[in-house]
Amino acid sequence: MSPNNQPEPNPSFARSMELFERARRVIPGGIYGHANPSLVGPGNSPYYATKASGCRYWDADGNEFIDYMCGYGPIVLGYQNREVEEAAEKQRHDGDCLNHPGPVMVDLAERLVSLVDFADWCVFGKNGSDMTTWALQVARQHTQRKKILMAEGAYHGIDPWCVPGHGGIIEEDRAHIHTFKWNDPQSLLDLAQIHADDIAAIITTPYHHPAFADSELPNNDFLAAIKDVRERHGCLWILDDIRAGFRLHLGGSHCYFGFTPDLACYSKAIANGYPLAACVGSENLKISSTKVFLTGSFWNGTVAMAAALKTIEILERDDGISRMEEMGTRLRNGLSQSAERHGLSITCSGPPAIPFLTFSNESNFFRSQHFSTECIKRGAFIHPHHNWFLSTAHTEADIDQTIAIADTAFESVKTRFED
Amino acid sequence: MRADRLAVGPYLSPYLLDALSDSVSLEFQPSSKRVASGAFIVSVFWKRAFMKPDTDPFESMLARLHLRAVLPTLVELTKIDATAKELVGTLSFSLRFKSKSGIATTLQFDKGALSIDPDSLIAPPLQFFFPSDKQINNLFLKRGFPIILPNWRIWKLIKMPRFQKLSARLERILKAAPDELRANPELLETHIHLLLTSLIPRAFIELARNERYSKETLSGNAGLIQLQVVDTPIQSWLDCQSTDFAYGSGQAPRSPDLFISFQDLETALLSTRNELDALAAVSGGEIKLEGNIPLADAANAVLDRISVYLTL
Ligand SMILES: Cc1ncc(COP(=O)(O)O)c(C=O)c1O
Repeated sequence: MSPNNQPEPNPSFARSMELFERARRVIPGGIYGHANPSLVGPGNSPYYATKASGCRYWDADGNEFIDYMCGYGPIVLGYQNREVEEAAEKQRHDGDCLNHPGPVMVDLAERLVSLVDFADWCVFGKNGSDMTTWALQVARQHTQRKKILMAEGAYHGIDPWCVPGHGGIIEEDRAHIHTFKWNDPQSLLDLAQIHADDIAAIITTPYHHPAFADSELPNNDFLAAIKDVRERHGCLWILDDIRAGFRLHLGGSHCYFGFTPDLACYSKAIANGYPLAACVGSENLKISSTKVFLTGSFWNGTVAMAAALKTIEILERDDGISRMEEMGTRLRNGLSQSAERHGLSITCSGPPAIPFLTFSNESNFFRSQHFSTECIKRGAFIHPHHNWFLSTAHTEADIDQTIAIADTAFESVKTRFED
Repeated sequence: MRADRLAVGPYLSPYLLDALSDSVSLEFQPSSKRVASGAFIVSVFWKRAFMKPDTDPFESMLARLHLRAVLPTLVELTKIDATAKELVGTLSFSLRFKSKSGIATTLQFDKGALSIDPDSLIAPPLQFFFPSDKQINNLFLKRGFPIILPNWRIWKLIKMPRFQKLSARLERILKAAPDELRANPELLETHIHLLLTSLIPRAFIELARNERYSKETLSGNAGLIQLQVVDTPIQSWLDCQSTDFAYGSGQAPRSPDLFISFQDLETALLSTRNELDALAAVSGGEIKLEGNIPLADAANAVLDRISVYLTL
């Protein structure tokens, strides 16, 4: 029995496991990267998804989940948004991978340049990493310098200069990458002092959202220190807005926090699940940007660009950003109240549309893992170690149902760890 | 990665005694003439060794692992293996291996109970001094001709045959081929026991303390790890704190931050041999991982480093 005397839900993940057993024979790791089940709950969580709609998805065993990962960010309007799918379908009908870019590329570039206040130009890729690595090169080209300063624990993608894994990295890959502590102006200023006139760029996310830790919004002193270093040392500020972009502010997350970078990278939510990434920059970097080679076999694909245009249109038309903020706030308040009722001390961090929950003063994550497993068991897919995402498809009813699920999960945490 | 220099077998063997006897005969024949000639040869070795200063960090790390992870596994062996216990009997003697670089380990048999003191300051009556870290590795790897300079109380060597047999026993268990291990469950359990409760945690600590990559990888990842093989008595723990590391066999002294359990001996065997898709094994349930995952990730990266030096 569950703590509140409801029958203990016991979803089967047999089909997921069956698929996994086949997968591991032919795919190293079975499922690799961020979707690797070892991070969520091996054996107690869905491994394979079969369909999704709105804010819900179904796994290979037919279990239904209210989703708080949104494909790890891209799904901003809900899965299978009808209008986006229609726009994509229409474009697909005319052709996706062509010899030349489609007119849609020009339309989208113009749209992004008009949306993002400091942007005068825009380029496209497929993944976030395509853009962060390219932006670094543009900064190096423009400044003719080597050094890149980044925050400790920040994720900027899977290229050797920043990938968090250990394998296949040589010292030289990181020889010119140096880290400072987030929200610690002195740590940044000291680092900048050391590398002074050799700094090409500071790369930051709009706020700090490391895995396995609370999210941290930037404090004013820290933002001031970044501006100071940029001015004093003549380096660029690259904003990696891949995770937060199009969830906090339609003009880019820098508007939400009130600063202006030199380059900004977007991906994830830009096309509601269609593969697309973009980098925008200011006029003074345009010539340098043309000197850094940029291409990919699929990077001119028209379908994702059509989907992006429609996604942005809907977000703007329906004020999707406010909607996510509202639902995120409702979720956060509900979770906080429920945890408090159970006498559990939790930390809800991050902006409401990209929330995260940790158990206060817990460095070994046992409670987080148990909480997540209990929520998943009851039909709310949340991650124990990675921030969550809201979409405009989450309704009040979905949020309330999630809070009810979390309430039972909190009670279970309380029983297991604190009683 | 120094794949071309992977150790082929990090274990002591009868070769130790052969090598030692060669050195001994150089220095300790009663005739003064032979002593003189022995001293001459020793001094030639000495010069040769010192003309090429031992600055290779790979050799130094490897020597550390040999002296502070492989050799001390004799302690665990004498606790769990009947043959080893019998061999030791009531032996009392101590023996120190020391390199010019300072890397040392002292084995102390006290009425059959073996203990290890890597940092002992008192030189025991029997000490083998190696003019370089590489020479230690030569001995363990049966590579080239090891230069060993025993101290003058070499008559203690009389106890060596038993020590030699003990080393051979260790080598036999650690180096047993997988097929042989699979055919002999008892041997397999002893093999895994020695690796998981001694050699691997000891090697981990040496790397964590002395290798830059491992230090950096572990920095900011503190916690207590409990390791176990389900349905066996094999259990050990590793305490990684920002200032230092400790390990022990059995249950962790306090509530662990990370549990790593191997479903069975076969999974542990594959894992220690680096033949397991660990990512898939965790998702598939053969390895259970609970708790501080970043610590598991960092620790795993350090454990992976063991195979850069030693072939398990
Ligand atoms: C902040 C940030 N930067 C870069 C990336 C890399 O994006 P991608 O996975 O599309 O390469 C991500 C992905 O999660 C991200 O969150």
